[in-house]
Formats: sequence, structure tokens, C-alpha cells
Amino acid sequence: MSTYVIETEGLTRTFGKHCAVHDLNLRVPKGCIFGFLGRNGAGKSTTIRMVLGLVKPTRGVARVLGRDSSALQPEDRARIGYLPEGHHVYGWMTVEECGRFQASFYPRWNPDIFHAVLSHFRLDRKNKAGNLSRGQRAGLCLALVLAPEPEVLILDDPALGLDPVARRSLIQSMLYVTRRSDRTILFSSHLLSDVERVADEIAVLDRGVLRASCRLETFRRRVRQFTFRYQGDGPPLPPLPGLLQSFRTEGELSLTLANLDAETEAALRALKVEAFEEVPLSLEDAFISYVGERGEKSFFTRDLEGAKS
Amino acid sequence: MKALFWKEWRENILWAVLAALCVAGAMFYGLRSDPERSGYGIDSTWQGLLSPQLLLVSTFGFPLIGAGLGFLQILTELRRDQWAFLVHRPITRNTIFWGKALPGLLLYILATAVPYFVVAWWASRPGSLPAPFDWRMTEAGMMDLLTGSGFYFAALWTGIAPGRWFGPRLLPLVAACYGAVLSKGYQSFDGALEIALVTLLALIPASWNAFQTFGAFQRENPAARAATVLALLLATAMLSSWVQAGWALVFPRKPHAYTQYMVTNQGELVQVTQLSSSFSKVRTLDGRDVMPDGKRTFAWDDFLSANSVNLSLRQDRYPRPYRRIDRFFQQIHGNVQDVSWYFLQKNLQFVSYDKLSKRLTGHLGPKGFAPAGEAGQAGHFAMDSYRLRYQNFMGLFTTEEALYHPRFIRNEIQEVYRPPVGVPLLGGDRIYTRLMEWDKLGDFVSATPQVLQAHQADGTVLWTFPQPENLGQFSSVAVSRLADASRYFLLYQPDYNKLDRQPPLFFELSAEGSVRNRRELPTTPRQPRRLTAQTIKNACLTPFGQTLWQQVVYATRSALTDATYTPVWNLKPNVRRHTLTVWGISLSTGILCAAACLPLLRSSFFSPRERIAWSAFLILYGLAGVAVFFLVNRWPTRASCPSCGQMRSREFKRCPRCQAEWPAPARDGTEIFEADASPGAS
Repeated sequence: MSTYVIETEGLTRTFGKHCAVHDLNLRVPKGCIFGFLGRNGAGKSTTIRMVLGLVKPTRGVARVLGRDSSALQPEDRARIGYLPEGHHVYGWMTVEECGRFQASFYPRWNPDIFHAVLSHFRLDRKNKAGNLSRGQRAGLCLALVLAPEPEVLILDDPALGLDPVARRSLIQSMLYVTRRSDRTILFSSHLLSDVERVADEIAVLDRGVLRASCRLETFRRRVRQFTFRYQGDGPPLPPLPGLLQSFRTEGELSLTLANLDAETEAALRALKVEAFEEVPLSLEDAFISYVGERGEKSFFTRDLEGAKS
Repeated sequence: MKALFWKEWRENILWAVLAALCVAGAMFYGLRSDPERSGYGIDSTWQGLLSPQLLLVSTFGFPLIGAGLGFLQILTELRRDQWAFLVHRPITRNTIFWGKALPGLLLYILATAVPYFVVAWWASRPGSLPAPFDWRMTEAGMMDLLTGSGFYFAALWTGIAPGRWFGPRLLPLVAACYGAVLSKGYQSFDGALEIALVTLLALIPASWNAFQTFGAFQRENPAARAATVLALLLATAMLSSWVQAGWALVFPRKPHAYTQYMVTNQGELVQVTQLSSSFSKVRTLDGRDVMPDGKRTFAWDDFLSANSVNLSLRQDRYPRPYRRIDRFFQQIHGNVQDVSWYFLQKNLQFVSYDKLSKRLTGHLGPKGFAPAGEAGQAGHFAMDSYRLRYQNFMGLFTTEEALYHPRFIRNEIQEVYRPPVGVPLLGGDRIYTRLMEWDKLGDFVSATPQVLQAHQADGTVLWTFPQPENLGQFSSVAVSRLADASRYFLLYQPDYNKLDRQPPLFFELSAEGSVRNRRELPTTPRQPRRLTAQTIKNACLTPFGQTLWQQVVYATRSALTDATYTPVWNLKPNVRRHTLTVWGISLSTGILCAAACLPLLRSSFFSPRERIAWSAFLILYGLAGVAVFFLVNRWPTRASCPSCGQMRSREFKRCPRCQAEWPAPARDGTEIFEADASPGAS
């Protein structure tokens, strides 16, 4: 069997003329926590649905646990836990009833895990699911997904709609209770801060196209930012391969680049500037620069004055 | 399955109970007895389960509840992630479908069948309605229950199918609608049941298939695909009917002209042509147009009122429509104040109900009146269904043995004529005059195979007229007379479908019955049977497969039963020629449709077997087939090939013309992949 639990080859999905996912080749190794990142509308949820066989790809294939997604059998689905975004529960059921309902579908339902997660999130079993807060509902959904002890866990933006504290708490506790050496976790998010503490590898999807798939450290190492200070109008910017963003203000030019090589670095050093320094980037800053708007931007106070007069 | 069943039940039970209360409320409201509305034609509660109000509730209410429950079960859960959460569970789609459909059907039964049968049980109890009750009256409601369940499955299918609400997504509901309309229009319950079952047999597998494939018409299940195609054919048939009805509204047809013979008040025999129930042309037998005196057009009272006396000894069975009350009993017009009289077909006798107590008060048969519960004492009339069909309850009551004059206000019946022993009575009726008193028995005629006789109310024979030798060629005789009774007129008429072949026979008699005039009249023209634009349009729109199927059904029925059906090969040569021409047009339309779709069929979407199957389907189903062909096949979106510029499907990796693959996403040097060589940045 392949060492990859999830594999896609040329996976493409179009909706009318809009291409939601374009020629995606993704590999998620076994036992890894895989962060699937991208802005809203980047194609993360569509990819996950194609991987689970819930949406038919326009072309290309997806495989989970070595089986084609379009031919997943109930016993395969029992090995795959899926937490969709939105944390839907049947509001008229109590927490306990939700558990009983879900347990009836799974041959390997572990009530201890279910109750442990409920306790972790301090959920009252007699509460109606419809009366739970967003965070509690997320906890209940997590309990429902974890109790069948799946081999692969696919979480579609599990912390969506939660406040930052609840978000971090949920992610951390979720990974605390789900981490197991033989369990693979793929979870999507549009914020790197959600995944940076826990993910082994990440993939970044931008407008349906896979732009990065690497270890976290690799990503951090490859996205870099430099600041140049100068007098007057500053030097003209030569064409730079891997340029993500440039931001020019009076006397300062900030450049964010990916995959900086020796040649580009030489071109940067050749710029006639007074000072040149590399700005350390947090992983989140790097990610935002990476998936943010690309190209050159500028901001000059004289433009504002001109606009006022 | 059990858990899903429980969930669906719990989620929708309240809606079902609410619907059940509404149905029961509406039905009881419809059957409420309102003294203000009493009177024939105004208060129809006596029709019980077949009253228009109840039929309205079941005809529209049951499909609405069925469709509503189906939508509730799907649409509330169809928000994409909730649906994904449902279908990702380790159960088959089949389990999910039946886990929804079985509780849904039970809830549908709870919401419709339970209140309906509660109302039926109430109506069956003596004292509930002032009318007889027959449990077979529930057949109409059961048919509505069945067709309503079709709407339930159609809603499941419509709910889950992808697409736009105003487009093909609604077609399953249209198919259910067609099944319902067709089964309601059918005369016999068995025929209606067949239609309803065929519709259900199409809709259940098709909605099941929609669950398996999330609404996509896929290639793996031939039976479900056939069901989907059948359901969509039903839908296109319904759409076609709507289009034709709309067309007829915008461009109404010329009204049908009908020609017959009538006698004017002056005793002149004329040929009258009616157009839209007005007299468009009145001609004498020598072809002269006649105009009324001092009026612009003729009216009914310019002609003598003629009765219609049956002359046929036919014993055909005439099943009445299963949704009409006269299948079971008929209310007698001009009922007396506190009592309602009915002719009960099961017992072949009249029965009376008290309007206040709503209970049976008596029976009236050939032996006279008998109190409630003593039906045998009153006796039973001897009647076959043909005679019953043409019974005129306003005139004399004609049985196989005698003519009767019932007087309901006095609970009496009088036998006014009985033919000699061994002579069958064909028919009889009053001789109508303008100032006739309905309650009093006036002059009347009786017909046996040998003679036609006119009688006075006391039984005195006015005249006896020997029947013509070719009596078997006529179905009725119309007898009329001048106001001063100085002359009588007899018009022997053939069956309606022989009007253009069999000449009617006219006699003018004196007051004593001697023949003053005898004429064999020219046949009256029927609508010309020729190929018009209308016929060609209908032939183009009627699928050849449908005609073929009907012929197969007719032939099978003819072989299996003693009923009379008319497959085309049993028709007369001129009719057969016309029918075969219509078939030819229909078949040619099918072939043209198949030829028009050939370029698409030859594309790579279809396997050779599918090409043959679709071609045969298009030949059989013509224009409707083309619509279904485009509706069920999922046509992939296309884009121009970056290599050769031709349009190509996005679904295939390689271009079928230039074999080029779709280009990979453009790289701009910012991509970060672990496998790439690490840049030598410092």
C-alpha cells in the first residue's frame, strides 16, 4: 500500500466556466498532520468533498486509503472521520441522543472517547444540541467524529466562526485528543496561526491552484522580506523572479520574495540604496504575504496632499 | 436504517399531524350540512366522499402534502455540509434513501389516509349524511392517495436534483402531475390504477437513482435509467398538453358544427345545423333556407319538443366514472322538502332519507313503498346497465318489464304499461308539450320490437304503429306532436357514429296513427375525416412509440378479455388508411429526430450500445424523445482547446482532435514544493 493516505492526480473541478480546483496533485503521508491552507474560495472545501467522493471531479482522480474516492464503500467511510464546516447537528436532539444516533452507524464506536471529549468541552449530555454555543457545538461534532476511531480525520475549517480564544483552544485540544501515531489528519483553514503549532506539513491553495506543498519550516525559510532605505525617489526595481509583493513609501522599499536564489540576491544587493536589511517574518505574516494580493504598491504622503489641494 | 427512520419520524411528525388536522378539518367542513344551502345543485354534501368539496381536498391536498413532506425531508438537510455529514456516514445511499422514504411514506399516510378514512368511517355511519353510503366510494380518495405519493417521490427527486428551480429540476413534479391528471380522467378504477402504478413505478426508481447519483443520470443502473426516462417522458407529455392547451386558448378552434333533423312548431321537418349551441342554419328538405318570423335567429321553442325512446336491445356494460356519484346512486330531481330520494343502483330501487335525522326512511320498488330496512318488501326493478345509463329520471321509469310513474311526494309508484308476456319492452317516455305538468302523468309512448304505441295517462291506447322492418339499424326514436295533438312525428335515428351512413327514417302520423307521410332522409354530414394541418400537427407531436404501445395493450386486452377494443388492423379500410398515414407521419418525425441528434450521438460521450439504444428511443419518441435525450444526459462544459482552438470537453484529459493535454497551471517562480531543489539563499 502507498505511504500516502490521500493522493490526488490532476484533480480538477469546474462549475460552469469557473475553475474551482485546477490540476491538483496533492499527497498526504500517513501519520502526518497536514494543514490545508488558502483564502476563502480558494477551493479547499471543494477539494475535500472530491477527496471524500461527495463531489464528482470534472477530471482527475482522488484516492483515500488507496481507494478511488468515487468508489468509497461504507466500510471505507467508517475509517474516515469527516468534520464539515458549520458544525451541523440536529438541534432537536440532546447531546446524548446525538451520540446514540451517530453510534448506530459505526461498528467501532468507542463511547469512552465520546464521553471524554464531551467532558473536555464540559458539555451537559442532557442539553439540546440546538442550545449549545458555537464552541460547544464544535466540541460535540468533534466527539461525534472521534468516537468511531477513524484512521484518517478530515476536518474542514473546524474553528470557523469561533472567537480567537475559542479557536486556539479548540485546535489545541482537538489535536491533543486526536494525535495518534497511526492517524492522519488533514485539516483546512484560511489562517496559518491555526496550524503553525501543530502541522507537520502544509499545502497552500490559491484560486484553485496548488502554490505550495512542503514542511512548515521549508515554507518559513523560503518566504523572505527585505527593507531598503534610500534618499529621493529611490532606485527603479528590476524584474525579480519570485517577487510576491513590493511596497514603496517615502525613502523605503519593502520586498517580499519566495524562493530567493543567489542571482536574485545579487540583483538586490546591486540596488543603490543607503541601507538594506532582512525583516524577520512570522509564519502568519509569511502566509499572508504569500496568498495576499501580489504586485507593486506604494503610499506617498505627497499624493494625499495633492488630493487635498 | 432504524436510527435514520427514527430521526426522520421525529423531525417531521409535527408537520404530518398538522397536515392531518387540516385535511380532517377541511373534509368535515366540506361535509357540513347547511340548511341554507339545501336544494339540488347547491348542496352537494349528499354525495359524501364523492362530493366536489371532498374531491377538491383530496385532489389538491394530498399531492400538496406529499410534495411538502418530500421537500421538508430533503431541503432542510440539503445545506451542503449537513448533507455531506449525512451521506459520509458508513451506510449505503440505498439505506439513506429508504431511511428517508419509508418514514416519509408513513408520515404521508398519517397526514392523508388516516383523516380520510376517519371521515369515510364517519360518513358510513347512519345519521351522518342524508344519503346512501358505499365503501367503494373511497376508491376516488385511494386513487388520490396513490397519486399523491407520486408527488412525494417526485419531491424527493426534485429536492436532490441539481439544477435550476425553474428548469428541468421541476420535471419530476410535472411527471407526477401527468400521472394524477391521467388517472383522474380515466373512467374505470382499474385503468386509473394502472396509470397511477406506472407513474409510481417510474418515479420511485428514478428518485432512488437520484439519491445514488446525487441527481445525475449515470450509466451504471439500466433499470433506474429506464425509470428516469419514463418519468421524463410523462413530464414532456404533460408539458406538451399544457402547450397545446395554451395554443388553443390563444388560437381557438372553429366550433364544431352539428346537423340534425327537427320539426318546427308548424309541423315542418327541417335540417338544423348548430354551431356553438346556436342555430346557424335551418333548411327545408328541398334545400331552402328558412328564417324565423320576426326574429333574427331560431330558438329552441321554435321547434317541437321531442323525447327519445330507446329501441336497442344492447346489453353492453357501461361502467360509470369511478369518481362520479352516479356510479352508486342518483339523486332524484325535484325532491320533496324534508326527504331526499335516490335511485340506488346496487339495490335497483329508490330509497328515501330524512333530511333532519339523516336516516333512511324507506324504499320504493316495483311493489310499492316499504319502510326502512324492509327493502325486499318494495321489490327490485329489472334493469341492465345500458338501460340504467340512458334512464331519464325526469320522465317515466323504464325497466325491462314495465313502465312506471313514481310519485315521490306520496311515496307511491304506478305501473303504467306492461307489454304482453314474452315481449321485451325496449323503452318508453312521455310525449312532451310546452305546458306539460311534470307531476301529472300525461300521454306517453312505449316501444317493443313489434310496435310503437301512444297511450293516455289512464292507459287508453291512442294509436299503434308497426315498427319499421329495419328496426335494428336504429338506436332511438324521437316522438313529438303538434300542440293541438292533430299530428304526430316519428324520427328513427341511427347511432351517432352511423349518422353519415345510415339514413334516418321519418313518419308523420295523424291523430289516429295513420301514416300521412314517410320519408327516408338524407344522411347528415359528420366532421370530414381528412388530413388537415391539425391532424399533421397531432401526428408529429404524438410519439410513434406511444401509438405502438397502445396497440399492443389493446391487442393484449382483446386477447385476454371479452371486452371490445379496436386495434388498427380490425378497422375498416378507409379508417385504417387514415390511421396508417398518421402513424407514418409520426414515425417519420421520429426518424427525423434521430437523424438530427446523430452528430451528438456519434460524439465520444456514448458507447456503441448507447448510440443504438438512444437512436431507437428517438425514433419511437420523436420530439418528446429529443427533449428527454437532452434533459437526462449530463452534457459536459466545453472550452476551446489551447492547442488546436477547437471546442472540447473539460472532462477529458486529452483533446480528441489534437491529443494535447490541458496545460498545467502557469508557474511564476513563487511556488514552494518540498521536492524542489532548495534555493541557495543565505
